[in-house]
Amino acid sequence: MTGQKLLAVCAALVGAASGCAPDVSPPDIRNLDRPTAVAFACYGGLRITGDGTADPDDEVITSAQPLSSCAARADDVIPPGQEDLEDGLPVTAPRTYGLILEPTRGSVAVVDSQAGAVLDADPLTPGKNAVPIGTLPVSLVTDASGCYAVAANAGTCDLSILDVASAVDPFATPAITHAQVTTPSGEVVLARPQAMVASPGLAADQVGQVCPDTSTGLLYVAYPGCHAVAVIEAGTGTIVSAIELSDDGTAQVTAGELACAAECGARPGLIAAAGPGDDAGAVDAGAVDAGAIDAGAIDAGPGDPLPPQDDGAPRPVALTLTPDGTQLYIVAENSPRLTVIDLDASGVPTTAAQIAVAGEVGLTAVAATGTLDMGGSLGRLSGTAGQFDFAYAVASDRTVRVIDTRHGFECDTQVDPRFARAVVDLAKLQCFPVGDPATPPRRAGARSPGIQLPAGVAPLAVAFATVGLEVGEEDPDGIADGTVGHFAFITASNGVVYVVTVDDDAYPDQEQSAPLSTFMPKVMAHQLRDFGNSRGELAQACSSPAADPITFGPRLVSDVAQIIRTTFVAPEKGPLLPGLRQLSCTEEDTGGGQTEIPVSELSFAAPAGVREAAYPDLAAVSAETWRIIWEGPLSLDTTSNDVDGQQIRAGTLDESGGDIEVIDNGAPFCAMGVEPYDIVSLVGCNPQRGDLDCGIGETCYTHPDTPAEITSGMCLPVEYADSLGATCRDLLISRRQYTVVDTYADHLTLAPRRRVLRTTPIAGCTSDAQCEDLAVVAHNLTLSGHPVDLDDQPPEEGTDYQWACAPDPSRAPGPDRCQMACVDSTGCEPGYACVGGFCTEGPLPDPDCAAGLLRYQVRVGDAFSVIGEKTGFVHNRVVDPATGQCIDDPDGSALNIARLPLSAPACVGDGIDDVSPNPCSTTVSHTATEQQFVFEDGRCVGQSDAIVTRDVPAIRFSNPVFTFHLINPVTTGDAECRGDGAGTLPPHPVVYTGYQISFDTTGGLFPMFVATDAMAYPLTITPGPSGRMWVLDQGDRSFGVRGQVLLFSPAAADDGFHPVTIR
Amino acid sequence: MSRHPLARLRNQANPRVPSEVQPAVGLPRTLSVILATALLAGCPASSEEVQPQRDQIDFPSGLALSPAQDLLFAVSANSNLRYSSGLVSVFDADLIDSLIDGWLDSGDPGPCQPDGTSPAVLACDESDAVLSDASVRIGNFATAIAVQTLDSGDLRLFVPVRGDPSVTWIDVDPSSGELSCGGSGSLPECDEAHRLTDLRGDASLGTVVDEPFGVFVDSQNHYALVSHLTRGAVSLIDTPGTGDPPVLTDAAGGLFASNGGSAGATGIAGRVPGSAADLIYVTSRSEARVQVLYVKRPDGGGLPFLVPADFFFLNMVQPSTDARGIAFSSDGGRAFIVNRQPPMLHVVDTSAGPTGVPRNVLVGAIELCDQPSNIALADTGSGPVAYVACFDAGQVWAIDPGTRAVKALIAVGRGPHALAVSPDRNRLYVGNFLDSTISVVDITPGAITENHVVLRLGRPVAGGKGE
Repeated sequence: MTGQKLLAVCAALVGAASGCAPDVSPPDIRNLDRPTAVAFACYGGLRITGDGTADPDDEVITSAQPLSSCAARADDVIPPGQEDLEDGLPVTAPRTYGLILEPTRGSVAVVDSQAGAVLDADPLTPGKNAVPIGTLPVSLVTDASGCYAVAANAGTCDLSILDVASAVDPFATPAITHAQVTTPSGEVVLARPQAMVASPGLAADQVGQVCPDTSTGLLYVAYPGCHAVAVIEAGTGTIVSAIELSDDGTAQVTAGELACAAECGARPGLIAAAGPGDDAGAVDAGAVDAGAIDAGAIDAGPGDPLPPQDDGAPRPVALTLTPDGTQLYIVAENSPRLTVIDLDASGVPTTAAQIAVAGEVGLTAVAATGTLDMGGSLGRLSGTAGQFDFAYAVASDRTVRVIDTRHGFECDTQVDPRFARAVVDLAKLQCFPVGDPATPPRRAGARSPGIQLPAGVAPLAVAFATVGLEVGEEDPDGIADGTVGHFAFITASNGVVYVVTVDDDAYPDQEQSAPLSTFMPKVMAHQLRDFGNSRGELAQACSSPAADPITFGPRLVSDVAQIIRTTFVAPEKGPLLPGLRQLSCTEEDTGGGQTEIPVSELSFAAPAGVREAAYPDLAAVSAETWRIIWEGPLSLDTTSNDVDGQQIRAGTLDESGGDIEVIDNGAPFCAMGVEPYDIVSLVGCNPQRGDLDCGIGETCYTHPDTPAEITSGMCLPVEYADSLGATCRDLLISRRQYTVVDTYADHLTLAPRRRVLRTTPIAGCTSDAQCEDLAVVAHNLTLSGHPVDLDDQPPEEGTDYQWACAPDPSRAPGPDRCQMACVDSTGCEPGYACVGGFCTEGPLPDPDCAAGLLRYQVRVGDAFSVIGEKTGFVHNRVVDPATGQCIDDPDGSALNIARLPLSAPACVGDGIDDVSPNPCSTTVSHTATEQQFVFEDGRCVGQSDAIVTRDVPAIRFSNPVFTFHLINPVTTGDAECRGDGAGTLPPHPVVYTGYQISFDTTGGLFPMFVATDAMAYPLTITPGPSGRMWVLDQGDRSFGVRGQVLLFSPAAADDGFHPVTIR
Repeated sequence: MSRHPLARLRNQANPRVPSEVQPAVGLPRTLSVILATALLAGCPASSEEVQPQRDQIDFPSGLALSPAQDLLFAVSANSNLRYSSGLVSVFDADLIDSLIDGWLDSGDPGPCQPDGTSPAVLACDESDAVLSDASVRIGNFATAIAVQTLDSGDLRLFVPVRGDPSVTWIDVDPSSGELSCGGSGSLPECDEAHRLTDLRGDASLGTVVDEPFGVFVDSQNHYALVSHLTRGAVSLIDTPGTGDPPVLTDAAGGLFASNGGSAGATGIAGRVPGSAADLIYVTSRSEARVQVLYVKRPDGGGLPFLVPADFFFLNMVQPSTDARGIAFSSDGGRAFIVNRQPPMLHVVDTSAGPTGVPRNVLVGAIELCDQPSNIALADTGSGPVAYVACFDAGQVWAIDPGTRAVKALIAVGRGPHALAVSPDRNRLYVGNFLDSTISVVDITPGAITENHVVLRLGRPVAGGKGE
């Protein structure tokens, strides 16, 4: 007894002992067991019309019948001949039943969809029992007559045929027969099936026939190990044709003489040796007559057949028929090709064609839309862009590939909307051909052309539905005002069913001229459907609306925050620091007047055109925090998330090659986006944590000479701590920050990083004397006084360091920089060490001083890092497989950047799609509240603050999520009073390491999904004949749940889809 | 992430009994009942009379094959404390095969007999295939076993023992199967020198972390790693190829967040064993995190230590917070991780991405039986197959990871957990913990007996051999 059961028993005993509790809920009964597939039955009243003409004298029976009978009734259409006739017997409307396949149990559970309940196949046995059908059945289909359900069994490599009526009728005993699959010449096929579909059922106008004696129509069965799809007569199991996939990936239609290796057992001998009562039960596990051992074993021909080999030929694992039954689509788990088979009127293959999707991927599931009239925005099903046929295939790169089978190419669903706005060709907007030079660039960071689900979850299966009324159709319920069009429903590994718009017939077909009037992800086909509303709403005030991600468009949650450390810049001088561009917003004040307020260009109150340019892709925006940090880290991850790696990592130090290197065998450096001249900080250990940051036998050592500015220690062996403390003194008391010289996936070469004056002119210094002057400027930034009050003050004691204008090899090549010069370390600021005549942020460590585990952090050099807590640090760095060096991806997007320097090439154009160069320098109008002073009598006299709009220099920065302008990257300083901007110093920055700007974004695309009880692993989704979707959740999300079936109505998209769960 | 000195993780309780009356989580709740019953019933006997029987299996918790696949090492956990100790036994795989071949080819049961309920299965006594002089005694509640090949070709076994707690190491003569671990007598007990309990042999530096559980050995890189079930920690053992004694050198703790007060490390495996700078993946029973580590040897010599590299989460199937066994494809491009909640085999793409770092993303998942606990991979010629032990169901599921299809449900016995697979012999060996038996499954592709138990070692006994 498990602990849980024990608890349940105890609870029951306690409950019993304490008396009756009338309000106790009965336990939740679970009847299903890991369902994976569903077939349907239509069962009920049927008039036997015979010749198709209804007659009052016709017999009316209760029978299984073609699924079209139930489908027609779901559309309020009664199949011809099944109407109630005057003087005739009434025809009880048939009901739809779901036949739920439970492979591990080897059974089929019957669900009454109208009642939403599992039926009991064996009333004499406790519980609701399923119908045993075979060993490891993998697929279940209904035959053309609707009278039989056929299962393909992977455990026995045969077929089981279930008499539908016997399964649905509560008073009948389920009738099952088995059929071997044989080639036209009679050879038994012992290949293991993986998937199966059946030829379309009889049309509604053919309803009225007595059930045939055996199953009818054709079955298409995929055999991965045989690299083939067999076309099988359902009634006999005989293969009539096949599609064989060759080693080169191509497909041929053949006569069906398959030579498959036996996968279901063929070595004779054991049965005879074992005698009666052999161990079939080991596999059967209760299945009916599964015959795992006797499945053709004796008849299988010679013993010891060759085992199936994975020879590289495609292994078909999924297939589907187009709704009209004219084409069969086949996908293989190890091939990127969709095989399209044309079928003749009887369903027999005629020709094979293939369409390859991009990349080295496999395809594991496929669904077909059938012919769609794409385009249209009238609120009625209509088409203005022509007819298309699409296949959606689930790919191994966790995307859903969209293939235009009519025109023969893959569609790029990841076109960056900022480049698609100018597209007016409606056909292109339905499918941007992959590889077509006219197809706009793909979204930066897209894995492939396929549809990507949120958070990187894996798609599992796809089904389609059409919602809405045709043009001209009456609309008594006003539903045409709601969701109209063709939609895909994609089940995902996180238990969610996502909705994708194939064609929205109630939304504009192309970009409208007014900003924010349309969103390209809603215009383009094959995009995740947005659950949000009022995305195009324009601001009515200057404040931010509530942080509701599904209402209104992309925006900031609140104002941009500027975090200033007063040890570097006095608060009063904060305006000298770079910031984000603001614009003027005017709103009515309480007195009825107009008030002007500066608002961020990223805010909701920014003008529509600015907002549209700021957030060009609704789908790229998440609810997340962004941080823009000068010389900031390459990651914001904490211990509970893994967007782009940990901020502080562990490695070791090595000098074996003559250089000092940080080694990390986890090879994270290219992945984190390191570039030369970035900064490596040897974090060491935190003495306040004792020795917890150190390895076995190590202690967190802090040298007694360590200045107050340095708060970390280093891990040293306990037994050598004192001696190493002396040897490593210079290292221990320094900041231990270094410049990255060479970048490899698994190591970085380090060099000393010089102490550079932060106010070094952006164009370079010209003399030592200039540097000395600018050092005073840097110092005065920390003081709140006006320049006129500070000019004559001498440097404070201890801050009169020597500065030299010289090339700086520890930073990217460029003009000379002001650097702290020295003779020895006493001439350097505390925490810096004199190396080669210049103060550095630490001497290169002797490996003896860092022999064990080393904690380190990598930060951006000479630029802001722009990181989103969910988006991460985006970059184009990859590894060169030949050298191991980190290089820029030659195919990378210009938008994949997270570095924002203070200077950049001039911008070329200012259109929404002008992204190169990026970042770039420009001039923009900027509105800010400024302190006002008047210089009178040698003093600065304060005035009221004023809102001022002026043109300022700016760096335009675009990443996949947004575009903003960093204003005032450098300054010429003030002349007399703070904020006068009249200084005549050479343009110089005032930023300092750690200066931070931050903001929160929201209002991006919020994927629509079917709200349900939690599902664990919805493996398949199948449209039912009555219009509802059937989702088979195989997973056990909690104890006691062994899978479930979810039914929902696509037509109720505007009303929560009406989900129903059956367990 | 922090590194915990072993001293901070020291077990303060009776070293012969788990520090908590903590059931073997990998060997589920049934065991907790057994343990509780045993402990309530009083102290186990410790005299010679209650020594384990050298030729019997008792709560088998670990199986491993020699590299030549001719010796099968089995660990008996003595989980009901019926005996004075646990046991490591050695079975002759050739002998097992000869019994099977005689049975399948000619119906000759030899010294065995057809199983009473499954006549196609040959039921043998352990003594029919065990090397009876080879067994040695170890501590109670051993959990797993792994094999190192020394430079000389000799073998060395590593066995995490929760009862001590310790990691016991045992030398093996591959030609005779004889085990040696310092003890004496007809059924030697491994001595203290063969029980790794102190860090670097110095108790002042700390002792082994509680609840050693999973073990992974890399013979080429000369180290072994042990996961710890209740501390979210991993211990590192330096295992010289020279045959010098191994040394417990390092431990990394705090790798996993706790769930209900206990942070557990469970499965552990190297991505490409033997490769330079191999990455070690560790799963957890307390959260969805998979921790990646590597072992660093100081360039100038000295003892190796652990370096945490990165981690990722199994959050594409939720909640996935109770991972167990892990195995890699031969090229290291796929990791197969067994999870219990929901029961799922995660197929993770661990191939190197364009940046050089393993991608570590889910590419597939296969629903599993209840309470899956362990996994073994084998390719016997028809592509890789994952065998997953289903403790509650008494089955092993054979899964084609390519098509994500369950190929077979193999009824093996009660409480299957330990797995060892011999591609050369086309055999899967399954330790049935609750039956105290070993089932031998034929995995010959295309054979009529494929994925069927063909032989069982030991008489199924509820509650262990002492009952």
